[in-house]
Amino acid sequence: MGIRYDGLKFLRFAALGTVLCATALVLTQTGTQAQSEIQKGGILEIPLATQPGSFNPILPAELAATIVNWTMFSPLTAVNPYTLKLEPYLAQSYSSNAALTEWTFNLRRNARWHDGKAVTAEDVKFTFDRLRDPEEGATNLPDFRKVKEVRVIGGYSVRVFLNSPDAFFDDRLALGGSEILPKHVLSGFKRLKDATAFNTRTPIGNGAFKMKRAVPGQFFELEANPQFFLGRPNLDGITFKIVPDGNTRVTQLLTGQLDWVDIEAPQLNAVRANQNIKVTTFDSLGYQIFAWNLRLPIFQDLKVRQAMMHAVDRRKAAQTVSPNLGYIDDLYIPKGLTWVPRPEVKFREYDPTRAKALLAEAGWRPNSSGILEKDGKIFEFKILVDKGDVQREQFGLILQQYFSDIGMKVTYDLAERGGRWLEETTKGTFQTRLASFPIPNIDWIQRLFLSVGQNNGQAYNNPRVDNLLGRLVATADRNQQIAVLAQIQQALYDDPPNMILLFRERMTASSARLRNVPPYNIKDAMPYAFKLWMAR
Amino acid sequence: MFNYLLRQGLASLAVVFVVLTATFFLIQSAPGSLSILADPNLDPEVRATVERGYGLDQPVFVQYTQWMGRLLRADLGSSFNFRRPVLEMILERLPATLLLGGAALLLTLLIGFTGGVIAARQPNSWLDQTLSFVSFVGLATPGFWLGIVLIIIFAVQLRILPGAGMQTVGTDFSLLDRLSYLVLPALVLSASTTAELMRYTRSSWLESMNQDYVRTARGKGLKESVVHGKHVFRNALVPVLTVFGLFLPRLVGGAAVIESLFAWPGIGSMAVEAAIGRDAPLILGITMFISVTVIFSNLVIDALYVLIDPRIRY
Repeated sequence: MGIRYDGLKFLRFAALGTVLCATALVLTQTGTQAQSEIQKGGILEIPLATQPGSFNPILPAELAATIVNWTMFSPLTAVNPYTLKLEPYLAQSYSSNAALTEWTFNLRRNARWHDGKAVTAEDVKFTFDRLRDPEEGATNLPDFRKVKEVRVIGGYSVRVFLNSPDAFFDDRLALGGSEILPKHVLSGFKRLKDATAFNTRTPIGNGAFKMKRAVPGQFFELEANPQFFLGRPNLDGITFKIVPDGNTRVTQLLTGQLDWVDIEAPQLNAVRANQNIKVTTFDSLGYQIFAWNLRLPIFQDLKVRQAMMHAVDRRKAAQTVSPNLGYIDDLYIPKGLTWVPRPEVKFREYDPTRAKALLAEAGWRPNSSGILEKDGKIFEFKILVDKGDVQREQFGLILQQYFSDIGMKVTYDLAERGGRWLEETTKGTFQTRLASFPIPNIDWIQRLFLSVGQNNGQAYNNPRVDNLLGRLVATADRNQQIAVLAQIQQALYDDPPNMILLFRERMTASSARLRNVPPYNIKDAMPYAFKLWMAR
Repeated sequence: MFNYLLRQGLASLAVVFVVLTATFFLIQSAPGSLSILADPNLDPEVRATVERGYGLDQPVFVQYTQWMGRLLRADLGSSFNFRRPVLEMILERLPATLLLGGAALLLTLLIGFTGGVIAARQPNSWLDQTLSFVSFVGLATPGFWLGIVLIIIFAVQLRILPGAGMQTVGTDFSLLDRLSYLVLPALVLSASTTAELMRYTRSSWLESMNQDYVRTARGKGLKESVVHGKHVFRNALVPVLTVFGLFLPRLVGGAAVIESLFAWPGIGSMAVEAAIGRDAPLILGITMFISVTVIFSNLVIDALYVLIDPRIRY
């Protein structure tokens, strides 16, 4: 017996919900009924900080390309930004076997490529086979390493065979980088990177919007795809404008040249006073962390890590860096994933006395200069901070002060993100670093905390956590998953992989004309951009 | 003069070679990686595959010889991050840069040179002092700050000029539309060069006015307008031309900060993206373009000296 996720059921449910919402709207807002009706038409203008590198969604790309690609290409599953729930998307429905080693996807029969050809199971097989070919260098290769075979079992059905159970294979497909590609356009290329015209100017997708005009360096005009399988978008199109400077983006929003912009806290005042701008705040499902390099013996000592957490007034630091935006916690899975249990744990409060005592237990005692010392070695390390993120730059200075106060010799090491910060991160040569991570779903918990997780850059290694994560992906039963997750939360609390500094709240600012804006960042909302509409 | 220009041209090739070689090894020595690989969460195997695809797994010297070999075949290669031919990308951005640079240059010449002459002809007058004050303010004001101020005034508050971009999206080309987008970045880009040129012109003009040949001309009873127009003007142009030669590559090579601030799609903003993204072929292509522009403009200026001042011989 397996699990079944039915797109039709979902649509029926959604339709019922829509009817109920519409009824409630009529009852409560009769006076503004005309304004609340969805209007068709209008062009949405969104900024990109850089020029998109490639319109092939499965090749490594920077943020700008991901944002555009989300609107043109469709994954089999997607996270609905309005509900944060996983839904079938290009797949009409899908199911897994009881062992969680076979996943069957049934495509929507009405899905068409932008050139009019039908989207078929052959396209899915083509895409997944390319994804798991190491020579393609696809971003999501790690997720497809466990794929043994992709088999077409009908014109619109495809089955994926895995080497080992994976209860969250559907989650992984929704994270970007696994969108389906057109076999009839790309199969002639030995490597996907060789399809230059497709990658840079004339992509053929199957999403809600299609490329109308590409003017590199300036803008990319996309128009609504009338044949989109979830219905024609409300908007007539989206124009992505390249605006490198963050302040210019806000200025353009204020002058009506842009409609929707991701903003940071320092920009809030500029937009809040404007009645034509609406600010949307939301849980980013991600956090700012202080990460130890656990390859270094000094940080492998649990007492040392616990002491460092007690040495910092994290509540005060978070309030300083991000006033009234976000929260601080010692549980590693964000509150936004509401179905994940939150065991009762005691937050490691600021307590320098306790910190010093724990360090003393670990053998670290102040020398004559007041610096902590053990076996002739002083407690000395660098905090590697990436330049450009104002929050992390401030956190780095605050942490340096707190750690110095308890006798550690700390260097604040500010480095270019794309330069030394990245190099030390990927090579694992940093001592400690500040970083941010998203945890939009369970997949990311594995990526970060599994000893062989692809994003476990700090070399966290806890056999108990490994074992629990192994059990988690091998169970299809939601209640069992919840029970295991509670244990994972506890295990991570007991043996902290890093110090959480802030669960971030993020903001977008949008023109008041833009309606149905989801509480989510622009990039991740893009698969559902077909639901946005502009009031005239 | 032809021989001189030929000699200079050949020497310039050596300069370009040295500049490109130095740039190549500087890029290699910088830490970090391509912007498409900048995600620290990227799988190491994926990272290695992409790097292998671009030949980045080869020893640096091998990469250098391969790149130089392509260059000798007039192939600038393809951008790593944008996967497109470098030459095509530069040519695509060149019109925007030339338009902005040309407009700024025109403003610089019109305002800077004229202002300098006016100030020099009435030294220490209130007009001279006002122009001096304005030029000092222009020199002292950072371009990015002036840009933000002008955007706030003209785009946000008055709403009479667009704050960023090069054309109204979704409309066909129109001269008026293009000019409206050009005004603010061109003004900002020309602010400091105008001020600089005004100062140089003033001092050069004043110096010429004290020369013997000017006294002789006046002694001959020539009209003041003839003295200025024929004798002072031509001789005052020589140092001005030198300064102009220095401005030219600055304006043509793109203005990274101003282009980024105004989202102007020129070579300057592309150079910033290329540098941040460690896009070696693109950085080298832009460097080559700018160094050739510098050398070519210097050769043109050298040639112009002869036309302006017959005393100069090569």
